[in-house]
Amino acid sequence: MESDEELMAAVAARSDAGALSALVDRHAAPLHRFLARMTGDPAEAEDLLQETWIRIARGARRFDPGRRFRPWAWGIAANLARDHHRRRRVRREGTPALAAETSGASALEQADVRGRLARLPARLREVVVLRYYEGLDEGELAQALDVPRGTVKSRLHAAMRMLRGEETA
Amino acid sequence: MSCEEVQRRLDEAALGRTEFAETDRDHAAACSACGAQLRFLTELAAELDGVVVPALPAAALEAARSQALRALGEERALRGYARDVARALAVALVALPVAVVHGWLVARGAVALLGGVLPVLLLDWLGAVYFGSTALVLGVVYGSIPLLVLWARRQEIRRQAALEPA
Repeated sequence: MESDEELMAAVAARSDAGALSALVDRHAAPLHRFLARMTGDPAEAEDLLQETWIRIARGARRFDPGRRFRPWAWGIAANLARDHHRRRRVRREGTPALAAETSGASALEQADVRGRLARLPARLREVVVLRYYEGLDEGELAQALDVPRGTVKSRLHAAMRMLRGEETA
Repeated sequence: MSCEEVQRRLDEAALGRTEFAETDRDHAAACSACGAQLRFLTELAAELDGVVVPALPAAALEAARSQALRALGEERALRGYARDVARALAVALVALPVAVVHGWLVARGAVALLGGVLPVLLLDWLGAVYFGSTALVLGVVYGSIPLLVLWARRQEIRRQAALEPA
């Protein structure tokens, strides 16, 4: 099976529709999960997912084959989610819409960690989601967010402090 | 073994990416900071696992695929845009010397014919109008070439999109 990077190289070099389709098959669902966690709304996440894939297709020629596909693609999605947050400019209070989807929501709504997670600023929320949901390491996070590793560390640190309730947003 | 190292390994283990090392557990049991970190990470991991995102509907997956392929098709169609514009301009530029020589001959003939009849000031004004309007027409013609190439490419994209199966 071809790697993501090989498929991306085929998309970049030959505009290979089959390779792009294979990437969509592999990564659309995880990207949707990530966007849903970032936005708190699966329906909005579907719209952002489409936009993400449009940008991936359009940006294929700018993809550096020496880099990994996943942080690059997740970085595009993170940027879109951030823009989405900025546009809405609605500070979410309490539990995001996803809470209703969980089992035992009433008990979980009272969980401190969840409340704090929902209240994290977008730039901190994205590092937590990318790190702890998507399993990106610090180097991949730096690549995805286009920031130095030190910034990733400091954002993770700040996010963790807020999640522990040691600081407020 | 520093607390920072232990907490980094606890971080990985709490998220299920590695196994808890017995030595790290022992350390966390004895060290209040690492113990607190372990409890927090366990709580966070449980919390994150508890958030259920509905599966991506098949229609949304297909919509994403369709949008991506369409964007790829547009990208492919526009890829040679600069090259096509350069070719069209190169071909069109062949006509430029002909137009310049023609304009020059017309102007020279007009001056020879009307030089003795019209005042110099009027001749100069007519010459300026003639050369100005010619330059304007040539500018519009050459300036429209990139737009015409873009239009032709868009038509081609639409034609190809119409041929693709829905």
